[in-house]
Amino acid sequence: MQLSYRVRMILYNILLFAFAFLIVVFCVFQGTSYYYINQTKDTLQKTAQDSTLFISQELKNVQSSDSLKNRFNANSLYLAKSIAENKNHRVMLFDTEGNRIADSVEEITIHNTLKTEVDLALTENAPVFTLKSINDARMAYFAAPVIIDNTVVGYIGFIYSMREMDTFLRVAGILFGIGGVLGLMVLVFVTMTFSKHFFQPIKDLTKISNEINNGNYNLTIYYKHTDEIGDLTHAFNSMVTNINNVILQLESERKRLAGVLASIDDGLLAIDKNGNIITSNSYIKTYFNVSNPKTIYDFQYQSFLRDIFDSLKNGKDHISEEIDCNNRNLLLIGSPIREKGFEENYMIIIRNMTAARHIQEEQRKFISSVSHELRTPLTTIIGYTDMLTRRQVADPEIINRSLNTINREGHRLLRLVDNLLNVNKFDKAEFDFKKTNLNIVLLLSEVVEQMQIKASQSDVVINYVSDELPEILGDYDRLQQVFINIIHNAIKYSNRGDIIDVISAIEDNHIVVSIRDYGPGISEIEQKRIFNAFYRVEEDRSRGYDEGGSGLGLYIVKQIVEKHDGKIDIVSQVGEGTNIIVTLPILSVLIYGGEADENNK
Amino acid sequence: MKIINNKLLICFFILLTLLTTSGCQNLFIPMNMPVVLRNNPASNEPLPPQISIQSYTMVSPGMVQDITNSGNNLILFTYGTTHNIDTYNTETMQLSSFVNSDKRALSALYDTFDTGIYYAEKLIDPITGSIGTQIIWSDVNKNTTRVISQPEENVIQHFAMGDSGQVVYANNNNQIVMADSEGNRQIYKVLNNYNILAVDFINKEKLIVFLATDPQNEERTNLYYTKINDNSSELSATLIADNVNSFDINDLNNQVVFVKNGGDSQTIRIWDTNAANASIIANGSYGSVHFTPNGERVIFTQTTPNSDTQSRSIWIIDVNGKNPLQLTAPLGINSEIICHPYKSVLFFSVEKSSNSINSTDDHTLSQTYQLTYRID
Repeated sequence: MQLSYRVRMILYNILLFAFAFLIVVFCVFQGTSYYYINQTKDTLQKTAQDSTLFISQELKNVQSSDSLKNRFNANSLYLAKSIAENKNHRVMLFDTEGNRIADSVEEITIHNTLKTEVDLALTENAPVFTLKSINDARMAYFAAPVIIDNTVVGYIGFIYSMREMDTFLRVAGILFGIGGVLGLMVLVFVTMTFSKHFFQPIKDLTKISNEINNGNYNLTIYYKHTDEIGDLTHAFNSMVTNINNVILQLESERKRLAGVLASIDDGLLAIDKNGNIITSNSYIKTYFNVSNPKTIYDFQYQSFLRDIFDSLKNGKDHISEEIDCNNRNLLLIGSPIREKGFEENYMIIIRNMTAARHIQEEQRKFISSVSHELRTPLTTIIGYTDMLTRRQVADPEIINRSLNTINREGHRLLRLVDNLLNVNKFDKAEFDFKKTNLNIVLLLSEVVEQMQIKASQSDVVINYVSDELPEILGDYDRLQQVFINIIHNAIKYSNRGDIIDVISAIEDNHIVVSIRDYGPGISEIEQKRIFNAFYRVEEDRSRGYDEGGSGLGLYIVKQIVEKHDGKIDIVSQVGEGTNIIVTLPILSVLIYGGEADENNK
Repeated sequence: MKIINNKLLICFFILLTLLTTSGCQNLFIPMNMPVVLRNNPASNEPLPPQISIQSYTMVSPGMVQDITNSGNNLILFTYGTTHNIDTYNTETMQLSSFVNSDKRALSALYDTFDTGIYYAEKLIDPITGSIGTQIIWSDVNKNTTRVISQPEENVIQHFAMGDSGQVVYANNNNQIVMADSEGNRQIYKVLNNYNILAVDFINKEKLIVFLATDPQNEERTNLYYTKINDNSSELSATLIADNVNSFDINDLNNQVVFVKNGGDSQTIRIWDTNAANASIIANGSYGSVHFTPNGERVIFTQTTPNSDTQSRSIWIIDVNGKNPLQLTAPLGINSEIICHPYKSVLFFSVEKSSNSINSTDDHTLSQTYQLTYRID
């Protein structure tokens, strides 16, 4: 059985008390008996001396010629009674042989009382004292020789009751018993009270330690005294504070790291030697649709991760691998984490390359179409120059036509290169517009008037209808270019005798410009791609008489409109013609919109 | 550590058990074991003097008062129908009547030259009923009797002898008187009014030693001395010791021995007239003290400690406090201890126990004993 510290302390105290108390009792009892016995001894010796003198006086007083010994024997009973009368205790007289000759008490039953003592006194020729316990009463037996004139005339014996000592010891025993019980009670009570006082700080410490175990670090123990417990409490409190600080520091460090990890655009996976996941970020879940992975083996359908892990474990230093997964193009980079004093861990970074690959594809397509576009006029130019060189053409008309063609194709190349330069410009962020307040109606009127000349060549009429419109903020030249391009296309795809309707109106705080032709129209698939760079409607290419488009016209248009915070839509059906709608914000709205934006921020 | 603790605990418990069991037993003298008691069995000191009682005889009935310088005669008081003063010849063992009187004799002393006896007797005035004491001198042949004290004097019981035949006594007038049988009187006035109970006189020093009631406490008596100055009839007393019971002087050594009470016990002290302080020679429970005539020893009576009887035993001790020796068993001594002038013989009187005497007399009956001792 394991006793608590407090119980043990109480027990020790009780033991100590009992020990001290018993020592006191022991000393008192021993001291008392010593005192009483010594006193009895002295008294008996004194009595023996007195008695001897008394006997001597009495014997010498008797006028007789007898020897003292005989006189002693003859008067023994009288002597014994006389002495007993004076001393109040039993007196026996013995002759020189040790035989009892007189007894102050008439007793028949026991004859050998004091026999041992008298015999010993006879042998030793000295007083003999014996302490006896008869019926629980202490008695002193005493025998001494009676020496008169240096002669032993007989022996005297006393039986002396030590009643006083017995009474005292009994009373003392009872008092000590009561005192001991009372003392023990007081001791237990006091120890219990005090131990509570002593153990309260320890209990507090235990309680608070448990609280700290449960993660509550904001506790301190209050103890007002500056003693040993006070020192312990103080040390404990500062320890808790330090631990708390360190934990807070670690926690903030961890949060920062977690933030860093979470803000990485790539998926990240740290794995220990056994395949347990140490850290991962949310992209992992997004990419692989696995919630809270614990080990690498939780990625059941991503065996490539396990493969990388295995390769790293086998000592490979760097792994870089591209895979397709769920319509995504993922780049996996694996590398070991080596740090001094730690086991080797592994890290896998998963990077989504889908968008990058798409851009690459677009660029490839762009380059291929640019080279194709550049190739067409160059082929024409080279063909004509070859013909002129080889055939020695003398016909001035042919020469003239050939030179015109070369010239036209050269211009076409120039335009193409210009447009490419423009495209490049728009892609650049620093390309800036010279925006001013402008009247769109005026602008459209100018464009329509300008394009009417070209349209009349193809026998096409442009109708322009407009309301009174507010001013907008924009680059006049660029917007002119936008509408020239659109109307130019409309003219290009119009049949002879067709009309083109240009309507500008205000609609929901926007200026909407609609350019409608009644040409062949554009299929839905083409509608989606029409604003891409280098896209041209297929049949356009067979046109021999026209200078042909660069394929960049609508791409540039779209870029410019979008830079004006506007948008461009196409509504078309094959055989029904095409309607291109340009929506531009009006100036006031722009201003208010700007303010509103700021307010929203 | 734990093992040591356990061992300690076990030892502790064994000790505890031993203590508990032995607490009631006494360790000094075991039960039922005879112990031989020897006095200094291994002492290297020379054997202390041994006393032996040579004889112890009943001399005569009566209370002994004094002995002659020759040691041949004793004064005894006997009480019968009259108050008698008897003399007893120790040689012939002859008791002869000296005075028969209806007046009670209180004390008697032989004069300096054994020519007569001074005795104090109680006077009751038949008219007034007042009680007084007078001193009378009578020569040993009973031819001449003189009243020494003046009629107006009330003499104290215990008087003393000078060395030239005069008696020294104190009276109720606060006077100390030195008178002789021829009628010469010298009266000294004691200053400061002492209530004197007993006087004694050291001749060589002309020193009067007296016992008087303590002025502060009526129940106590103090011992004083005063020196007689030839030019002055006034005596101024000096305290020797307070709370004194009994005293005796010795002319040879000019010493005073006295019993001083102190709390529970008493001390026997000897004061030398030349010394400032008294020296303690014994400590116990004492009755009276006397010097032996040669001044070498002190005889005293002692009651048994822790005893309620009034019996006293006679002891003898050297003046330096060594060798106390017991001379008698406790006895009902009712007289002074009278020493023989040059022999190792003591005379003293013992009260007769009532059951041994068939007497209706209300007076105390005494038996005088003669004790001869020898100190080897």
